[in-house]
Amino acid sequence: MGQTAPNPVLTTIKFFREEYEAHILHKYCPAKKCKALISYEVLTDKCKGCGRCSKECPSGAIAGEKKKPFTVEQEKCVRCGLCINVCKFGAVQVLSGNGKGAGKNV
Amino acid sequence: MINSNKATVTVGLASCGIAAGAQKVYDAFKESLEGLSVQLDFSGCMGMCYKEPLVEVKVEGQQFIYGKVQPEQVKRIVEEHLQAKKPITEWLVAAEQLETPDKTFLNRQQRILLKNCGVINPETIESYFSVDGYKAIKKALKDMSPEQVIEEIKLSGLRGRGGGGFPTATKWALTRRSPGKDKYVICNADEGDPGAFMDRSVLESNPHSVLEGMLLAGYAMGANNGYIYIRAEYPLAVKRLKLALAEARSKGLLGANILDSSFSFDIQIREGAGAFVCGEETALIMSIEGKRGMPRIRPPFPSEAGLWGKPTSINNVETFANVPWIILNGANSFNQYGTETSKGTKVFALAGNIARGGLIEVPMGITINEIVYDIGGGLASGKKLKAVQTGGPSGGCIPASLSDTPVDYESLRKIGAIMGSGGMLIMDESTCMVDMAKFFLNFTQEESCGKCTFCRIGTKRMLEILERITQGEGQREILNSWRN
Ligand SMILES: Cc1cc2nc3c(=O)[nH]c(=O)nc-3n(C[C@H](O)[C@H](O)[C@H](O)COP(=O)(O)O)c2cc1C
Ligand code: SF4
Ligand code: SF4
Ligand code: SF4
Ligand code: FES
Repeated sequence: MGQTAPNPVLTTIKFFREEYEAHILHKYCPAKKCKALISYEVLTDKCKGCGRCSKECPSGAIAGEKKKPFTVEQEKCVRCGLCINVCKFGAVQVLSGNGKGAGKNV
Repeated sequence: MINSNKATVTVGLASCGIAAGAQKVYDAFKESLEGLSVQLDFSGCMGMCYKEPLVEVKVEGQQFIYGKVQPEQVKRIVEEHLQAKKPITEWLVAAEQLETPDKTFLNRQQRILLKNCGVINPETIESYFSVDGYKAIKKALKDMSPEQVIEEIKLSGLRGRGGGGFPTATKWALTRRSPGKDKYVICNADEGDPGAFMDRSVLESNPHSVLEGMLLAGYAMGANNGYIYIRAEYPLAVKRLKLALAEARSKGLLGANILDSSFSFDIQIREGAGAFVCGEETALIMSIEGKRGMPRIRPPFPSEAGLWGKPTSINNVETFANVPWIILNGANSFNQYGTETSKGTKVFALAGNIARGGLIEVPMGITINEIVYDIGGGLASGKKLKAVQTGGPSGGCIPASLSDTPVDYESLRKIGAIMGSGGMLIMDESTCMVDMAKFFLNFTQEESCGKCTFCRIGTKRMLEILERITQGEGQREILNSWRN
């Protein structure tokens, strides 16, 4: 097992080297999966202020006034992605790179 | 047994079907069919696991398969299809005269070993008899010497389906040649790869085919005892195996002087605790001996000194299940499928992001593309294919750009992946490859038995580095030092 254990790592480095480089050099997760490298944000122009995301968010990270754009408080967000799924207006987006992502404490 | 004139209803009752509620569907049919001249039966895995619970209806010799059947739908199927003889087209997933998208799922496959899985009742030996069950061992005992059995397997080109791909006949011949009277046949049903369920399905759907394969192996090698090492997490497979063993014994197919020949053979079941390393053959042998399962250095190989120090041949479930078919149909029928060096078919558990996931059997040499698109119906998410992982935690990942690679032992090895035991995980563009690698490494790290330094410390270090990368704190140098 010791001999074969690195195989999944070695083959992914071989075939998806850019993806490793993106994580290392640009702190960017192209698939937007690595929690420390992404952030969820509400698009102000698309948000209808319905409050659904705020109600569903397990960590109480989304707040706002009805009928006005809501905002995600990055310190509280645990990156579960629920808000993206519940928003009917496609107003939540997930970003990575360019300093997005709260670091490793998630 | 199934009377061909009588209408029949067969419900797939393998673990995944039962998990999807198939037992309730079976019970609903039992109630609704009261007093009707319809035979109700159950089978194992029909392969279309993505459409569980599955029900096969046979009326006037014609076969129809309903998918995602709920107990509430049963009454209508009975009234309209079985009584009024009008199939309910919108609920069908496949039927002989009906063109459904699910049909290519079946048509592109080559089902030899799975042919009777999901067809016969796995809990009665009569059902196995009705599909030529135990005819191969009869033929061998009557007309073939043990050497001829080995020769036939050699001609067929059968290689081990447990991952390594070692020629089965060579292993058997070595064990036969090893001196000593006591020899053992072991069936490896530990199936540790996450997501793999091929061996479980075969054991739950057609247990006798594995027993018959072991009998033939025993006869060929001159062994009188067999063990099936199976993980305790497979209670239904264990239950059906126990039933199969008892029935085979009562029919004189196991025990002393099988079918009045001079050959005696019996099989015992050993339930393992489900550690991944115990799937490795030397660790498995130690576990059967009651010791802690830890791999040891080979040689000596089990064929020289295996269980209790005696010559032992250990093979995978699927390897054994191929054997009766080869003996009965001849090596040449088998080796017409496949490529130059990889003969026959291979069973895969198609899983991950795939529209039609399930248990499939394909000729060796089929391409990844054909499996993903023709059989699997493309990705479940509708997104683009990113990569395919074969061989579980010991295997490698195949990028979409190489998806025209033929599935055979050598081609897969050449690109760094392996055939493995049959897990095939499909990933779409939304999968992070670093995260994926981390998942498998984490698995290996947790399952390491701790005996060797690299495995114990090395995988831990590697995992820490991957963790740092996913947290944006990785270092570039690592990419170069990890090149193989
Ligand atoms: C860590 C490890 C795990 C293994 N797990 C399995 C397993 O779950 N099932 C299996 O059949 N073979 C497994 N193998 C391979 C067995 O050691 C052995 O080669 C195989 O059972 C031989 O059967 P075959 O020749 O029919 O393939 C594993 C090997 C290693 C190194
Ligand atoms: S430490 Fe790892 S490589 Fe060594 S025997 Fe145990 S599982 Fe195998
Ligand atoms: S659910 Fe969508 S539209 Fe509603 S408040 Fe949240 S982001 Fe805005
Ligand atoms: S990702 Fe989860 S925790 Fe973060 S804001 Fe959305 S719902 Fe809340
Ligand atoms: S169809 Fe149920 S296990 Fe495959």
